[in-house]
Amino acid sequence: MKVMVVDDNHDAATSMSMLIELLGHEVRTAFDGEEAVVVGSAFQPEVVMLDLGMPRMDGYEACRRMRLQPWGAKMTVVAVTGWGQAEVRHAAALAGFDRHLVKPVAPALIASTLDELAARIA
Amino acid sequence: MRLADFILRDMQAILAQWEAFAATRVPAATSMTPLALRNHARQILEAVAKDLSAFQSQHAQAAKSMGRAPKIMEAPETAAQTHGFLRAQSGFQINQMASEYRALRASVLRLWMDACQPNDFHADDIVRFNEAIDQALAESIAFFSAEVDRARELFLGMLGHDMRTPLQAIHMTASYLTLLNAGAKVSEAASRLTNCSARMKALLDDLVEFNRTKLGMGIDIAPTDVDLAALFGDELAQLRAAYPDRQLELEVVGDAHGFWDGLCLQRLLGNLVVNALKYGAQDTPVRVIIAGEEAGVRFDVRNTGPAMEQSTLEQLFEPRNRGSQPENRYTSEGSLGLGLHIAREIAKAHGGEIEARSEETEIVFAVRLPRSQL
Repeated sequence: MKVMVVDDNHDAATSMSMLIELLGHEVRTAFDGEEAVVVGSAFQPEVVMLDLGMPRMDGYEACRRMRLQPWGAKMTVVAVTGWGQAEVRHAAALAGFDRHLVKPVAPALIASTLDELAARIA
Repeated sequence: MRLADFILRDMQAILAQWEAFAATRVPAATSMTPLALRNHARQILEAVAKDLSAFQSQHAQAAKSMGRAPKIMEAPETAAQTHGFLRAQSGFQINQMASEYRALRASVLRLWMDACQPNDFHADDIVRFNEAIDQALAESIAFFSAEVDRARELFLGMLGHDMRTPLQAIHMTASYLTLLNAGAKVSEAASRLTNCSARMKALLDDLVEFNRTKLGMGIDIAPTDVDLAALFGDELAQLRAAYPDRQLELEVVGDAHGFWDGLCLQRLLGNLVVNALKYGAQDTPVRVIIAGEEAGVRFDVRNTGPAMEQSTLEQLFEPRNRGSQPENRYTSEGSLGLGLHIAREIAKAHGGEIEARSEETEIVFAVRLPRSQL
């Protein structure tokens, strides 16, 4: 699967990208919302792991913008964030997120989530 | 001259003296302009003067002396309440704020006595004045504390949030190292990293949730359709990996589906099981028994152990208060000792409850969850 990982914390973004790559997926990484829209447009990912709080453009706005693109309507967007409260989940769902994972996400959960999404696409 | 009249007449002189004192309570007073300072003090003193002039019944006087003036519903904040709130915001310590009131009390009484003939002041005015100042101080302190609590909750919330991202990077990297299959030494080191980050995550979750429950906010849950049997199976598998020399058993009777927050319930179970592993007999299994009923699901966590008094069992749910010695503050497992407290809060957030009871040879933690909440 084509997976894009977006997080303004470089260590968090890179470590997740490395793990997902090792799980057998094709990965691109972006470090803020604006970059995500640009990288996403060229890469056209099937899954986006998207942080919410980021400088320049936050995850909500990036999600809304990508959803408006022809390539962004069908992909699965997963929020990966430190916030797990009901209000945040609700706001993320409204912005177009499909799932919500609270940091620190267990690597096993990343693997099972991607397996499940891959099975659905296949 | 009566004290009330004196306060209103010599307001400027009193305020000047008090302001000079307040300015010495550095550093916080520097962020408050003299005008702001003077405004509260004026309003507090005006309220005090009004109070002194007004008739006070014996009953009201006794109540006031204990800091319980009558409260008017929907009444605007008093000047003393606003003062407490702003003092907390501008970084005052509570003892600095209390000493402001001490200074105010002393300035007023000294100036009044200096201005009056010795036989011209009324002892009753001093009693009432002290009561009014105490009332104002009590109001200021209540608002001050509430603001400090709120600020602490925000701070801990931010701290908890900000720690999650680097913690995730550690966890991901440890997993990556394990998956590389770079030999037993690397795998062993990586699993140590994984264990440590899991422990930090547990501490962080406890801290954040305890902070919320302490402020009466309850635990946030995000319910979905879940199967408790599957969720608990996964949780026990993880616990078996963490406690390889112990036996964990799961029995399921009936339908265990419901509309709950799966991750929260896994934590609830994890906290109960870890507690049973820690305090129960080490050579017998910990048993988890799920029973699906019509209105809800019950599950027990059972371990062999000596009988305990019901009152002792109830105390287990209280957040542990281990005194001020830092070496006693943490359990050896590096937890804050909040596991059972949080387990109960999670049950409550689902409209359920946890009971602990002692049977002949077993300690039982029994959880009841309604299948759906109204």
